[in-house]
Amino acid sequence: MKKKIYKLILVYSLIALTIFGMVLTILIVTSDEPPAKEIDDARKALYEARKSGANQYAILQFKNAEISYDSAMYYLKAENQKIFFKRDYSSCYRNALTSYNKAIEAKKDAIAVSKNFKKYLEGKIDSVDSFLNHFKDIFISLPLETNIYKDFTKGKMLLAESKYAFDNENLTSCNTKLDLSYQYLNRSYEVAKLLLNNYFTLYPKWQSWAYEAIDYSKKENTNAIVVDKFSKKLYLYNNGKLKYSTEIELGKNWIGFKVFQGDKATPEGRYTIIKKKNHPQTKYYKALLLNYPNSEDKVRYDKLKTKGQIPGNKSIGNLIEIHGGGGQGANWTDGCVALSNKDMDKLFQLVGEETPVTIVGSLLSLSEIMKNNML
Amino acid sequence: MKNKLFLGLVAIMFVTVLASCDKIPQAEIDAANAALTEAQAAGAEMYIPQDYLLVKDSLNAILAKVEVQNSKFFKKFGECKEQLVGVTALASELKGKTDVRKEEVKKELETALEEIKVVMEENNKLFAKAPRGKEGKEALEQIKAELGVIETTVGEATNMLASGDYLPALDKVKAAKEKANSILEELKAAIAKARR
Repeated sequence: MKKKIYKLILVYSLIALTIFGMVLTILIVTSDEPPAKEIDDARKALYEARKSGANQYAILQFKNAEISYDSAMYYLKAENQKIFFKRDYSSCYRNALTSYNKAIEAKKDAIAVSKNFKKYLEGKIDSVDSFLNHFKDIFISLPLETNIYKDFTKGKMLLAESKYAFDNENLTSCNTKLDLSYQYLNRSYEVAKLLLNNYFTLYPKWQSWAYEAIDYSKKENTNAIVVDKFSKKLYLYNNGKLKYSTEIELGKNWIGFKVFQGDKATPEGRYTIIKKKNHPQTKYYKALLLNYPNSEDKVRYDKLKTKGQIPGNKSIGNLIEIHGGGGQGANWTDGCVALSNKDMDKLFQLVGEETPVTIVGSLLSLSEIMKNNML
Repeated sequence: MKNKLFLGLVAIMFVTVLASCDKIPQAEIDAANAALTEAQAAGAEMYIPQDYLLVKDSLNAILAKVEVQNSKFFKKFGECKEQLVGVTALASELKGKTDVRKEEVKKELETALEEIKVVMEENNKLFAKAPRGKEGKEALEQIKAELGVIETTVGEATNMLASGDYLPALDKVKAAKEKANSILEELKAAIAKARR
């Protein structure tokens, strides 16, 4: 009897175990499988996208791809917590697939954008560079405040920094530095432009003075000197034709009229050579003394004096000359026009007393000067 | 005999249950994550970005593999454990590499700072000797402004050196050095011209 019971228990146990095994096998075989391949593909695509700089150049797509990947992993973990036959990996699958597609898209976009961005930055560097180069020569010679020069230098240095960042493939940093560089350069440029715009309102007057001087030399078959302060040039006309031209240097505050003694400004107007001086009559090698102040200068001085715009007891000044000692590479005179001794020799030989000297701000209009200086 | 058979069946069931109960290698995962975080904190992402990316991707691959294994009825984490130990070693190596690269950049920055200081000292000496006459006054004022900007930039770069921000500081110093050298040439030329 006891044996029979054991036998029955054994038989039932075996049957139960077989059924359990069969059910388990069926459940295992039919249970949902995690999308291992899709997850792996998405991860690889993300790696490639990041390597291509998608985190910088295709930020949105890349971020979406990352979020989808993280979601896929989240669903994978969450489903794994459930009993195996209740698992459903469809959300994980969908997210892995989305992540893959977005990562591929991000990589493609990043390659295109970085290529375009590089080109864009190359163009931007060239642009700021040429802005600086065209503006540099004009800017350096302008009488501006120290702070403006500081801004200008800061802009130049930021431009150099942006070039290093570009070489190191730090394109975002390069872009930021370029923007900053342009801001600094442009700020100093705007100040300079304002100064020049105000100054060049006199351009029509300069034009007519220069025209009259050349016309006079033609009509009278004589010499006439025209000094262009902006281009730092002196022109000698004879019989209406350009006979000689040379580089000059002026007073530090060369922009504007000379108003009083010691303002370091070179006068503008129509003058005449009243005396030719040889060494030792002048300490600047040789000199051509002009009849500054003329009547217009005197009227201007008196007007400003009445308005209280002449500091202290400053006089109108005198002894404005075209003299030697130039070639220093700076505007250094007290208001005279300086030539190198070699050029002075030549001019001294060509002109005599009574030669008209017309000093103008510029022979070119501001738009002609700045034509290529705008970004 | 029947007893033995019964015990055998129970043993099979027990082994089956045990085999399906291999645990996720959490300690190894934590160690790998910690090593990578440490490398990242050391600046691996900035100083050796490609290496960092590679190790990070390897860890991601293993973590995905762990979860895939975790989904199986018969879980086997042995291979994953080995890989996690490997990636932990790589991450630690990464930190070492980062420190080496950082040290290189730091030295380069320090050298550049030393060099620029020498150039600036020379500039200041020459500035004092530069022609003080009215011919050079205007140019000297501009140079003075430029030297001031360079000094400020060097100060900024020195602060960045102290805060461990080496790479951006290096670009700054290089640009400042370029400018300082051009001023040096300018001053030398001005002095030579004045002597003639």
